[in-house]
Formats: sequence, structure tokens, C-alpha cells
Amino acid sequence: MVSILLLRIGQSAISLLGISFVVFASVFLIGEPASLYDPLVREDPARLAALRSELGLDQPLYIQYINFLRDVVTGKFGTSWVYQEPAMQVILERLPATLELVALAIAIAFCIGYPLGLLSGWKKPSALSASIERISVLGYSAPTFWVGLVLIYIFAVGANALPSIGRGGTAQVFGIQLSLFTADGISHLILPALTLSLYEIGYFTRMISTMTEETKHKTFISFAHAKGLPVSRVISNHLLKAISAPLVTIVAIETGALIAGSVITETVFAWPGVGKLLVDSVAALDRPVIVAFVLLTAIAFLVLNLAADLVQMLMDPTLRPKGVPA
Amino acid sequence: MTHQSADNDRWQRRSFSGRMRRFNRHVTNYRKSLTRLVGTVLVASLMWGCTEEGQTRTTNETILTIGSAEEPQTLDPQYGLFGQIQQATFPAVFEPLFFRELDGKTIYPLLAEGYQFIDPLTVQINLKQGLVFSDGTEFNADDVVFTLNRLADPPGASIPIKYVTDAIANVVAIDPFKVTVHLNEPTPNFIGYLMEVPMLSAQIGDAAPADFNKLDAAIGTGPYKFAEWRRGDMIEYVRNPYFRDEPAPWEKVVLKFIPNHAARVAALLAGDIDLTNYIPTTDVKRLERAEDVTVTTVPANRALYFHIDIERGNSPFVTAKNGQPIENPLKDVRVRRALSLAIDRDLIVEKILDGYASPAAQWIAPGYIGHEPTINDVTPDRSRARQLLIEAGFSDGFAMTLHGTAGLYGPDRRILQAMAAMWEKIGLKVEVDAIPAGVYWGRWANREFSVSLSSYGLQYYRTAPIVSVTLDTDGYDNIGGYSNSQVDLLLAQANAAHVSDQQEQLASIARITADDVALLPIYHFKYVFGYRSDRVSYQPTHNVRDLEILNAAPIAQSQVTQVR
Repeated sequence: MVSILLLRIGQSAISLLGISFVVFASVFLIGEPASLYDPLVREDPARLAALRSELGLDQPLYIQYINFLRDVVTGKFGTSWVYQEPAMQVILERLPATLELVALAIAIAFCIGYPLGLLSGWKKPSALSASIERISVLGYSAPTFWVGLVLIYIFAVGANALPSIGRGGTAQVFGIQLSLFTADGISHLILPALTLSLYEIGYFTRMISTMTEETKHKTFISFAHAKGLPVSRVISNHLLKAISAPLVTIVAIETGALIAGSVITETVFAWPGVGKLLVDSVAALDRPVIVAFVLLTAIAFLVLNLAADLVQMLMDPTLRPKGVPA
Repeated sequence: MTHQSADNDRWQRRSFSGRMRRFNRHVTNYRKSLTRLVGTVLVASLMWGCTEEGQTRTTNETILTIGSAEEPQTLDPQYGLFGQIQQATFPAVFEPLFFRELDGKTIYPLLAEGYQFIDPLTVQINLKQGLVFSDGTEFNADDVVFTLNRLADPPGASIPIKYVTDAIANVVAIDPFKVTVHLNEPTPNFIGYLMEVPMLSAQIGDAAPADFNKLDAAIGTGPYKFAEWRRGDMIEYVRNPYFRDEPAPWEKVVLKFIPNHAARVAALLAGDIDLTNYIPTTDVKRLERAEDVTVTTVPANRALYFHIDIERGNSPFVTAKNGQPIENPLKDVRVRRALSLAIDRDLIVEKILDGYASPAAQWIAPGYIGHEPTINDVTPDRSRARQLLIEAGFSDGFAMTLHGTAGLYGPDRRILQAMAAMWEKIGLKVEVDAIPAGVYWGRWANREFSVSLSSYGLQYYRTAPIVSVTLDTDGYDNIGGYSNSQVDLLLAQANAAHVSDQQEQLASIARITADDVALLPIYHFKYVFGYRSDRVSYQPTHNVRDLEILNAAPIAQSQVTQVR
């Protein structure tokens, strides 16, 4: 088990290196951040040169990259040019907001998508199943910014029931400020989480529906029916276990995708998370923050995938490498 | 025998499957109690969390909530690029020596008591006594000296008011409440320049912008002080307990950052914010229809205009229609006039801006210093434009790329497309490249474009300096390379005179540059503010786009009914 873990970590490190280089190179090729940083440098070449050397922009690309890698390994992700603070600190300040939004969105999507998917898959082919599938298409084709604004107009402007923008009051939970545990916080969380989860509801429904439909024809399910088990037990005792393993992977990947892709929802709802930070940093060409963010997301993806694989191995003995005990 | 085997069976059952059953029961019991334990912990933390949360408004506190489209990058008022820093810090927290009335140009002494020009190169400023910073320390001449010195060389970047720092030779404190400023050249408008310089406390020493962001160095004399800055979320202000006059009208002010325009308008309609600006022109009618929302429009001295590459023999984005390089047609004034005549400004204002702008025939807006009333014709004339092109030798037209920002100035992309379509009608082939601001300005400053969009808000005391940097032969914002020695002379004269005497020179400059089509102005902005009339009464300063906390007064409490 340990050797597998080490192998996976090694693979992840290589992926991370590749990602960091691609991001670094692409951000370097865009724009001239020095003149945005200080507009006066445009007519003063000496000032421009001084600023470029202070920001480290005058070194050749590979030296800047090596410096960057060295800093990353020692834990320094550089100082944000915009905020004048360590880039990682800027990101970590806003990470809890995004994480709680993503957590609630995944939870909503799972709670709605799972039963709907099961129903749709089990009842295939039928009118009910077809209509569920059609509605789920709406889920992942509706554009997020539009859905968000419609929800705001219905619930905030029209019904005046929920707040339209921003994050609610937070409470300290294990040292982190989270708004998941306050009534005001939850009222602010509902609409953005709903917006974010819409795509995932559609996706989960269809995925689970397909998997259910494939699995329900398998021999062991027929055997369970033949044994005389009621349908609820067939599903809960046999079907669910069979589709859980790939489901874990899907949930893990989608969680990572939501962390990275909450940008639009956060912009619409003025949610102070890392997605909005990324948009602002790209607009301001704040390179340290952009690179730190992408690396953070890459690490999150890799960790989530690794965790998903491990959980799967625990759940499904057939996935374990040979000779490894439970 | 059978008995024994039956016994054996039972024994075996007890020894394995019996054990399995018991084990399963234990597991179930264990799972049940674990679930209960986890559930209790969650519920308990939820309840505990609920008691500690931050509350929204109640009827007792007067809280002003402002929706801002932009967030400042720092709270250091000397470091910053655009209006976002001013509306967040100034003059609610930091105050200047002299400030302006609501008309945007009448100066009155704020932290200073008065001034006198001892000679054209020396100004003496007398300070008010008994003023105190928000940390309790006294405001005196040392703070003025410190502020002006730091302005010249702040840790980090500097604000683009180079004309102020260039004017100052040095500053000396004669006594605790008198300061003498020595100027490099006669600068009759110097007191007006000081309107833009907020006073910092000398106690902050060599504080950098990061120290302001942590609020350690953000010490000002204004009626409010910073309570908290939640990045990406909001800035909270509370009353400054040491403020010299009667306490500020609001107990708390919250500046919320909502970059999405539609969401911000929705927040105003829902009552989540009380005041905002940057309202998309398509939403203004919706706001006007809503009860409890008032919309105020202010015609501004800001134009959207285009620089034209007048200087270079070969312009990077101008070619013949077949792609071959040609001698730059934009150098010919007839071609430039044709470009201007082909644009239907009324149509752009009516259809793209929904009437919330005015067509511009010149850079400076009507009613402002430097405006020349005889230049007001914006009637398009396509046939005349075609004729001019033919006269200039371009009967076949030419190909060009039009560059501008993407989304920085409202519907700028659509305006670019409209202009390209209008130019195509006079026989040109035009492509549009709309670039996000972060990338655009760097390339624009590098003079990479041929015809490029720009815009600058002209304040009363800032008009002549900005016109200089844009149209003077050596001006650093003179992207097109326009050069006219007469204009240079007039600019020098204008800059040496007091603002109230600049009209003649600036109007002459307007005539000459309009004739030469040095710039291509399209429209003058109208700043639109929206506020909830059931909570606040807002009066925008003339010609100011920023949201000013001090201009918002609460409506009497008896009229407040809605609370969330």
C-alpha cells in the first residue's frame, strides 16, 4: 500500500512540474505588468528598468522559472504585486469561502442528483426516465451567470426573501472563519450554491442513471431479485455498492472542477472566494497570485484524485493490486 | 452419532457464524452510536455558531451600504491608479489641505486655514490648530512635510499626479502650523493641485502599502476610519472618535464590492445596497421605474476618444486592402476629417448608450473650461467623407484595424463595431480588436496601435496639465504623435496661468486640434448614480464619477420601514 502511495505521489509531482511550467510560460508571454503597476514608468525608461529588476522581470525566462521553483519548494509563492502580501496568504484568506460554497454545492447536487439518477436509471425505459433525462440536460446547458441572475431576481428582488449578493456573517470553526454555521451565512449561501450545483445536478443525474441502467441487468442483481428480495433491498444492498466505486471518482473530480470553476458564480454573487481573486489577478496581471492559484488547484486535483483512488481501493477489493490485504 | 454431529453443528455455528452475527450486531450498535455522536457534534456546532454570527442591519443603527464595482488594490491613498482608491479613502478617511465644493471647482480650506503666495515660487500655508488624527495624535506641519515628501517617492508605486510632484521643489515647516512650499516654476494653480493630496500622519514613518492594508498606517483626520477590510468582500468604516466637528451622520458605512453590473443593480433593487454607480445604460429605465429608487445623471467632462497615428510614415495596422504596406493615410488631415465625418455619433449615443451620453464634437464637454462653443457640429456626412478620401488619393480606400478596450467603458466593444461598420460604408476595410484593459494599456502606451481608444476625466484644475500630456509634442500620452508648435505655445501659456484665465488659450487649442482632427472624440459621458430614496439622499459632486460617502445623508429614521 505504501509503495503504491509513493508511486502515485511521484507521478503527481511530475504532473505538477509540467503544469507549473506551462502556466509560468503562458503568463509570462502576456502583457507588460510593469506599466500597470506604475503608470509613470511609461515615459521614464530608468524607472521602468528599476521596476523590472525589482520585480525580477529582467532575468531570462529560465532563471525566473528556477527562482520560482526554488521559492515554491521552500514554501514561498512570491509576493503579490497587487496586494503587496505573500501570494499564498492572499489565496488562503479567500479559500474557506470557496470551499464552503463548493461543499454545499456538491452536497446539494449529490442529494438531488443521486436519487433522481437512480430513479431514472432503474425505470429505463419509461416516460419518467426520459423526462428526468431531458430536464437534466437543462441543468448542464444553462449558463451559470444567467441562472444566477435569474435566481437573484426571483428570490432577492421579487420575493425579497434571500440576500442577493455577498457572504453572510461568519463564525470561527476550528480556527477558520466559515459562514456555513450561521443562519445569516446560510441565507447568503443558498443562491450561489444552488447556481453552482445546477450543472452538477444534471451531470450526476445522467452519470448515475447510466451506471444504474448498466448494472441493473447484471447477473447478481437478477440473482437478488430471484432470491425474493424487495426492490428497495436490491438497490440498497447490491446496486449501490456496485456503482459506488466509480461514483467516488466522479465526485472527487467534480469537486476539484468546482473549486477551479466557481469563478462565474463568485463574480455574479460578489462571493469573496478564490475564483474572483483569479479573475481580478488575471485582469491586473498579478503573476505571483495567478501561478500560485493554478498550482494550488493542480495540487487539489491531484490530492482529490489520490484520495478517490484510495477510497475506491478500500471499497472495491478487485481494484487492489494483487497480494495486498484489505 | 447424529446427536453428536448436531451438537457439533451447533458448536460450529456458535464458533463462527454466531460470532459473525454478534460481530455484526456490535458493528451496527457501534455505527448507530457513532452516527448519533457525529450528529450531536454537528448540531451543537451549528447552534454554537449561530450565536456568534455577524448580524445585518437593525433599525437602531444607521448603516450606509454602498455597492462598488471596483475594489481598491490598497488603502494607501498615495499608491493607486484609478478612482477606486479615491472613493474608498478620500475624503472620508484622509483629508486634503484644501477641498472642493459640490460644484467641483470652488476651493475651500479644509485642514488648512489659508494660504498666500509670497512670490510666484513660494507659497505659505497656514494650518488649522487643534486637529487630531484617528489615533489621537495631533495634526501639524510635520505631517504636511512628510506627506508631500512621501508623495514624491512613496514606497511602492506612485499615483499619476506627476504634475504636482514636479511642481514642488521642497517643503519646509516654519512653525508647527505653518508650511512653506518652494516651487520649481510659477504654478498659479498649485492650491488647486493640493485638492488631490490627502494628508497622512508622519507617525507612519516608512510604512508601505501593505501596512495600510493591515490598517496600521491608515490613520487620517477624516470623519470616518477603517474598521475592517475583508478582501474581495467589503470595507467597513466606523466613526472617527477624534473628528473635530460633530460626528458623522452614519454610525457605520459598508463599501461592498460587486463587480457584476447586473448583480449590483439587482442588489440595489432588493435593498441590499443603498447607493451605487456604473449602472449599465440598459438598466437605468428599470431603476427609474422602481419605487424607492432614485436615479441621478450628471453630464461629465470626460470624453471617449481615439488617438490617430499622425506621426509615423508606416502605421502598423494600416495597409492597402490587398495587405500591401502603404504610406500612412492617417497623416493626411483630409483622411482624418473623412473618418470623423463618417461617424454617426447621434446614432451611437441613441442606440448603444441608450441616450446616457452626449455626442462629442470636441474633447472638452460643454460648460467646462476650455470648451469652444462654435465646435458643435456632429452631423455625419458620408458623401463628403468619400469625397475627401478621393481628394487625398484613396479612392480605393485602405485596410485598418481599430483597437480598443473590452468592457472597460460600458458597451465599448459595440461602439468599436459600430465605428468599423460606419467606416466600411465609406469604402474602408476595418477590423476590430477589443482587448482586456490589463493587456490593452501596456500596448497602447507602447504606441503599438494605429487608431486606439482612450478616455480621461478632466477635473477643473487638471484640465490644462492633462491636455498638455496628450497634445503637446513631448507629452507622454501623445500616442498619435500630434505636433503643432502653435498648440505647444498655447499650452505653455495656459499652464502658466491661473485656471480662471485659461479659457482663451484652451479654446484656441480646441479650435486648432478639432480642425486638425488631432483626436477623434465620440461622446461625452454621463455619470449615473442610483440610490434608495427611502434610506439615503445622495448628491453627487459635479463631474465626479466616484461614490462619495460624505455626500450621502440619511433619511429621517421615522421613514425607515423595511428591515431584513
